[in-house]
Amino acid sequence: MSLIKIDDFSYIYPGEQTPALLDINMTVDQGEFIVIAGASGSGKSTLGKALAGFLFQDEKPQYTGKILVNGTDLTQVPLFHASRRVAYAQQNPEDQFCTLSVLDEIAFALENTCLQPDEIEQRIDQALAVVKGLNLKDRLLATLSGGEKQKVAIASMLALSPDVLILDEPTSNLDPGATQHVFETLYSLRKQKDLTVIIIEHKLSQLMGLNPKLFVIDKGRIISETRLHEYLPQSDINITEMMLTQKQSYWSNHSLLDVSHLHVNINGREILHEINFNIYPGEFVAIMGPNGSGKSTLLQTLMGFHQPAHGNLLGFNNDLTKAKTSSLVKDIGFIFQNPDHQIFTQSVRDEAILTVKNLNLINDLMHEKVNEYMDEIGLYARLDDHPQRLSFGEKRRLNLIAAILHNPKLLLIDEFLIGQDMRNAHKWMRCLWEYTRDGHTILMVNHHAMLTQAYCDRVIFLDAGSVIVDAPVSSAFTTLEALGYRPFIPHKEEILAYA
Amino acid sequence: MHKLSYQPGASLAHQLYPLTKFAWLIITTIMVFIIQEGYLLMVTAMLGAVLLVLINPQIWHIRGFKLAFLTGMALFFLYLLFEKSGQVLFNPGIELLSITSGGLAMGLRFSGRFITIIFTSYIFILTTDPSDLAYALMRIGLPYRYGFMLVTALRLAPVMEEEGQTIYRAQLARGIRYDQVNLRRILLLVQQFMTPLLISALRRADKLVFSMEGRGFGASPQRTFRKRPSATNLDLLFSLALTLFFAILTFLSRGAI
Repeated sequence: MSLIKIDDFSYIYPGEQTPALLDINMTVDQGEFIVIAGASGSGKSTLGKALAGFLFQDEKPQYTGKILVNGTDLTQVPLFHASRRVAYAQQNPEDQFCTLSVLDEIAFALENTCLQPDEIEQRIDQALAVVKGLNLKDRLLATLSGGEKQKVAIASMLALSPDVLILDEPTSNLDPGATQHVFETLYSLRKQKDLTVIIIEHKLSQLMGLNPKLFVIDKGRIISETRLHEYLPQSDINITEMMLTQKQSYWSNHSLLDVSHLHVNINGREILHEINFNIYPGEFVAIMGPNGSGKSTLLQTLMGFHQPAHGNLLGFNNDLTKAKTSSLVKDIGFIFQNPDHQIFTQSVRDEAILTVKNLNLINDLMHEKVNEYMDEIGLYARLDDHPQRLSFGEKRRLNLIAAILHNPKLLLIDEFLIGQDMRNAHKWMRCLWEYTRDGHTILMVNHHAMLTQAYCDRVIFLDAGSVIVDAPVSSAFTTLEALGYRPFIPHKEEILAYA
Repeated sequence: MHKLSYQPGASLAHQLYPLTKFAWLIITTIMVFIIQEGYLLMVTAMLGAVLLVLINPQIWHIRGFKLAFLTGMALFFLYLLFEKSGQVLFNPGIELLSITSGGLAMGLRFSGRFITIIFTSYIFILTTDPSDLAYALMRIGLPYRYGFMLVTALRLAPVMEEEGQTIYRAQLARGIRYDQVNLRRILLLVQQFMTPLLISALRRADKLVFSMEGRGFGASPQRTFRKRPSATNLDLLFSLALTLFFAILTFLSRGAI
């Protein structure tokens, strides 16, 4: 008998007209390893939340159909009953932690269900052993790496012994090495505990080796149900063509930025060690490396947010170690990871022109340029809307326009592609690539090897605060593979594996 | 400069049960108002100072300590300068600089009280993991919903601090300047800073509710707790020693009256 059975399920979010899920029928057996894929906004996270019973807690939820897990209809039971059957881990483990230590976090659910202290102790050990995290037992959550936090989040779910574990993009904040490790841990859970694991994900390349069963969702409907190896997505993006497109080289003897012997300490700890590189006009540089290797710190130092302990930073006829951020804004645009942290005004138009206004560059030409750009990115009709009403992807587009409207020579981008599906990711990389064609320079923190290979000119790879490889993309990945950074290099199947 | 927050360690004060420390923080605060003799209060303050140095020899560099200590000292000198009751103990010929027994007693009393309260609070904060205190309070009957208000606030405080920093940097990167300010501009800056922070906080709260309810929080009126350290003989010994100490001070203080 199947463990999960969804019958003709449809769901409409409160206040919406169009259904987020439509006529979903799905059967999953115990111990299966499932991936739900689909573009941003396709409804895959909504399906995950429905399976965990999260959608039925409103006063009058609008849905039809049934969601049966082990015989219990999750549309009919309170959330805490549903949670005994199905555990749901949110995208970012940071968002689900409600205590300060590993022990308290894993004990949390067990204490809520009134287990006795001895049994709680036993279950904590079991859950940590399953995710190979017993060494983390006495740690504080704040001291864990991204991968370790994900392990603790999974262990805190496993402690309740659910039948089903659902993870919503569990690796979106992880580097490829940690991603691989998390997927393997989840796969082994299935074997060890006969647990049914459902992963909502668009990074399919690293799941290729595990060949899970795949459900693809589009506009709220399941459009494909197959094994990952048999899945060939319909695509209008010709990646091979992308890779062959050559760009006119702007490399010259005049570098835009000279970084030499750079050392940066934060709170007494050395984050960057002996960094040396030059950046030339027109380059599209990917900054890559494991989580915590110093990528964000490097970009932030270039923008004047950290004072180097030693070393020289020269650019735009300026000693950047002494320059204030305010004097760099004219030449350098900066896009942060989270769109919500960089939206400050009350309308989309004000947001787009904020930097230009602060630099006293506002004129009629700029207003025209805003209209033109907004039209191009499909936000013209929303110029007077509050920017917080935009969707995640729309906010990201606005961030980009807000950063480049004043035409800075250098654009620093910290992880632009998190939460974007592959189709959008390609679109954005193409757009950034075009921006560099007329001599603009981009330094971008990016985890995606295949996109780096297709669109960037050069890779600077950091590990533990030092530059390990600094080379054109054509040779960088060969060197990285030889050095043992296999998860960070593009894989052949990656070209096919996106949804 | 270090933050004034819990710092893990193995000192005597670290080893005490959070509730023992919490109780003695309150008792000491009451006792310094019962004891009137300035020199006895200074003895208490000295004892606190010794404990503080044992916990953290760098205590001078903890945020706020210097200011609090100097305020205590300033209190002493202000009483010395402006309280002229009682016998004259020292007279350099200038009225303002003369020292009287009343001024000295009042100076010692008020600065002794102030410094003792500051010192004991520092000892408590530096050596007590706030979430341990919250769990200890829940175990003696604080309803767990209120206890977890404290735990989640502690969990989110550093996250919000970091987000505030990111928002500030994102503003600098967009050319927002904090160095040219007038009242209208301050209001705009506050709005531009608080809007993203508030939105982010609300999103976080929403996700946290999901996470907590999804793990059975609030489903039952009662809740159990995992094994945690409880009070030991050390707490008993410490409490006996402090009881004796304050008994002697009270006796000496009464004797003096």
